[in-house]
Amino acid sequence: MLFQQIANGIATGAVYALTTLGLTMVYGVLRVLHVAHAGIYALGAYVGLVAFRFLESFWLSLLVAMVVCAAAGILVERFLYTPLLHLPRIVPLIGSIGLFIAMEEAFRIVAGPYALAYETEIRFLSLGLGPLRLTAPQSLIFTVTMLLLGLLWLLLSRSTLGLAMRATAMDADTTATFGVDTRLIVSLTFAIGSALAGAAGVLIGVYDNQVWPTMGSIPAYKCLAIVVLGGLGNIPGSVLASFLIGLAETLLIGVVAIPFPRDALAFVAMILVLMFRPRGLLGKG
Amino acid sequence: MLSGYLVTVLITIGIYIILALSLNLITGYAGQISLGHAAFMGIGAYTSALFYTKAGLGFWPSFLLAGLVAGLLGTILAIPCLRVREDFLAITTMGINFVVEATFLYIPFFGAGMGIGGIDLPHFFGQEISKSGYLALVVLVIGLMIALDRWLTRSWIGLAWAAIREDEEAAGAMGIDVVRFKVLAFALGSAGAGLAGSLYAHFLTFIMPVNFSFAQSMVILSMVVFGGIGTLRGPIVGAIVLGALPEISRPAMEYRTLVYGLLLLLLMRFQPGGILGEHSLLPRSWRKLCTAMQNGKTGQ
Amino acid sequence: MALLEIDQLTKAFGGVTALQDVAFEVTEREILGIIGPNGAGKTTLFNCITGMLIPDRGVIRFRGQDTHGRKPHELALRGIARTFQVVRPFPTLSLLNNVLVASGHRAYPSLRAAAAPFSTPAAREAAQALLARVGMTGEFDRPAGTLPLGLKKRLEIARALALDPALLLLDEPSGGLRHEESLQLLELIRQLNQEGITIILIEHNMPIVMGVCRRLVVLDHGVKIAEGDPSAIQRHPQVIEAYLGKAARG
Ligand SMILES: Nc1ncnc2c1ncn2[C@@H]1O[C@H](COP(=O)(O)OP(=O)(O)OP(=O)(O)O)[C@@H](O)[C@H]1O
Ligand SMILES: [Mg+2]
Repeated sequence: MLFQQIANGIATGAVYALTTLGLTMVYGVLRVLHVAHAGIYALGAYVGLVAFRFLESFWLSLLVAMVVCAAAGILVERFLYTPLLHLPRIVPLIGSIGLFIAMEEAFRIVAGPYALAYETEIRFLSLGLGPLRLTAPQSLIFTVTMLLLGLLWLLLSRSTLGLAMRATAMDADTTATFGVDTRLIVSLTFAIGSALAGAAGVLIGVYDNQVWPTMGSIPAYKCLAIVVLGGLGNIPGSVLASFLIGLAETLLIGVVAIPFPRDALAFVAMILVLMFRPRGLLGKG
Repeated sequence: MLSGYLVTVLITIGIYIILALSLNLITGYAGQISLGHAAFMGIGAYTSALFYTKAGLGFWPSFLLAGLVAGLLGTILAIPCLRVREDFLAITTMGINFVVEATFLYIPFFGAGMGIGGIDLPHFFGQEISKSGYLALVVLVIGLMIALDRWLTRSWIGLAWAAIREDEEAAGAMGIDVVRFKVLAFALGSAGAGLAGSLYAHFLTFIMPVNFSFAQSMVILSMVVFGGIGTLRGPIVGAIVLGALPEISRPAMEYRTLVYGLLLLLLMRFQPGGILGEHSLLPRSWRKLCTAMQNGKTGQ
Repeated sequence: MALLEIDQLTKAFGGVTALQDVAFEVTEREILGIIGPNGAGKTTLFNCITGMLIPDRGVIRFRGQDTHGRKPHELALRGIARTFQVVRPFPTLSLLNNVLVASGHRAYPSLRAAAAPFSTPAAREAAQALLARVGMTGEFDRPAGTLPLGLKKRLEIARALALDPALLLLDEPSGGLRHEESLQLLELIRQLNQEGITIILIEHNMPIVMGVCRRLVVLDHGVKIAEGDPSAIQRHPQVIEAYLGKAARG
């Protein structure tokens, strides 16, 4: 029972990590609170579902969803955020909220208000460590997350592109003086972050066996809390915070059964941490 | 005579005007992004409801206590907000909203998921006030909020807020106690939201946690931003337009939220100051028209 | 008497030591120049004096009182005013309101006084006089963000003066000014000093420094390498090496 909850917590944390990573990366380069990121996450789930029905391959549909979300991410960046960068922070924030509302409504109008079933027979080995056993879908989520995290880590730490991305996040103006096309880097960051969100959407769709229009509503804001908890723009911080919140949610609510809404927990944790570390768990300064 | 339906719509819009004006103090003038204004509206509504139904106080004391308690809690909750800046602040206020809503939802004293019912319209001389009478009361409170707004923006307080909004550090170097003036903005803004919450509770006669959710905060904030943040007319017009939108678009029910989202998106993209912001198209063309007309007159 | 005493002042950012055991005094009514190459720690020194940064070690005494733990606004109210090297006017506020923000220092401490209207004829007149004083003319209602750099710098001085300071810290006020503007600035600094304001001036423009300062402090890599009158400083070997030497070579 306890171990099962831990397994659930790990799976939840993995999906949070995928979603919040994109958010954190985007924040790093543009300093915008990208609420509509959760719209991209839901988009990923829908695209994944449609692609799966046509292609009948989970892996291919995952890839299609990631590519479509990457393109959508670039569109959002070019159309919405970049033109508004010089304006007060609240402007892109409200624009993003508007976009998110519109996306949710578009899903509802196009695909209907009800959940669509995501019927996949997942054949995947089930991982385990001692008494801790992950179910097949959980193992899939965990594996895909770790795989993508690993790829991202390689990209960021080992490639020139990654170096340019990190430099742009630190100080775009200075980076530009070294001849780096920071506009391109910003777009690529959005593309990668959005692809990760799309992957998270597909995984949740598979895990819950359904996709629904408002599936992004809670992640939209909870992921912001997680990102802030980890230290806005801090990638390891986001991953750490994601797993902490994933585990805390399942353990405190599922096992200890404290009478508290699951979705408010991340916010309580965030406020408490900010009291002592105003820049989040791993934030600097 | 106004029809009952119209009065109901007008009262709702009026309450939103009070909410938008009070949020404008915090976010528009002092420049502190708050994504949790509905929490203070909720605190006011629950305070009023509890004093009215459980403590047996009348409308007026409940109403005033709602403003007072919301203002006090706004002051207290401003303290975590002072430790953080900008985007951290925005998310902290969002968090406060979720936590306050959860408190109403999970604590039996607040009626939990059932909410609180049996809150009536106020009584005057032993008789329940009519809907039109209540509308007059709402308008009166709007008038007071407008007076407060005018007074504050003309005072050193308003100037200090403007300086803090533009550059906190430079404001400090000019002798402004940034913390104190920020807390003042949160206290006044939250008190205003509390009064609006009380009016809302007595009008609806039944309140539930979901009335004061984060989504509600977004509605209030979009009204402020839509009309033109940091101006007096902006939040009023924003509340009227967005408040009336659901009623006007009733025939196109299916698409109204979509329209709402797209409206916010496109407005921010192309008129980031709101429809009536200082530098937006509408006021600019209006001013041009005025000068053109004046020139025409002098030219004759 | 010393208006400002600084002793053992140390401040590091991560690995960079911006100030290392810096000590000097500023006597009342003098003009002290601070010079040093880029990154020497000059601005950091101002940030410590005005309470915007908390030093790692050392004391700063203003009028004999330790300023440790005092917030920037408290120090501003006690009479320390500053300008910023990278100008920071309040961009959407009008020129006049920029100055009035600082005039408000009398009102801000009491809520009651702060609730009074700010744009009284008397306050406006005083602010206009200050703007005229720093050589600004024309429309005082335009937003400060629209000004060219030179005028922004002047605006910052007017704003600092509105605080009625005893000690005025000017961080490279001549940066971006034309030659005749610099001369006007020189004259203004002298006048202000004659009216009783003590001034610390960070400046790269040597003619200004030499023309107006009786005494200089030289920083290099956070360390005070020399202190004395301008002619002695010009002959100081370490200074020539660290600062003037580079300029001479370049
Ligand atoms: N807030 C800060 N965070 C990190 N490092 C800083 C900060 N402020 C200053 N520094 C570093 O401290 C050192 C001293 O900087 P400072 O701005 O005081 O120099 P300065 O003498 O004013 O130079 P300049 O003549 O270029 O204005 C520099 O190496 C700078 O990079
Ligand atoms: Mg400097």
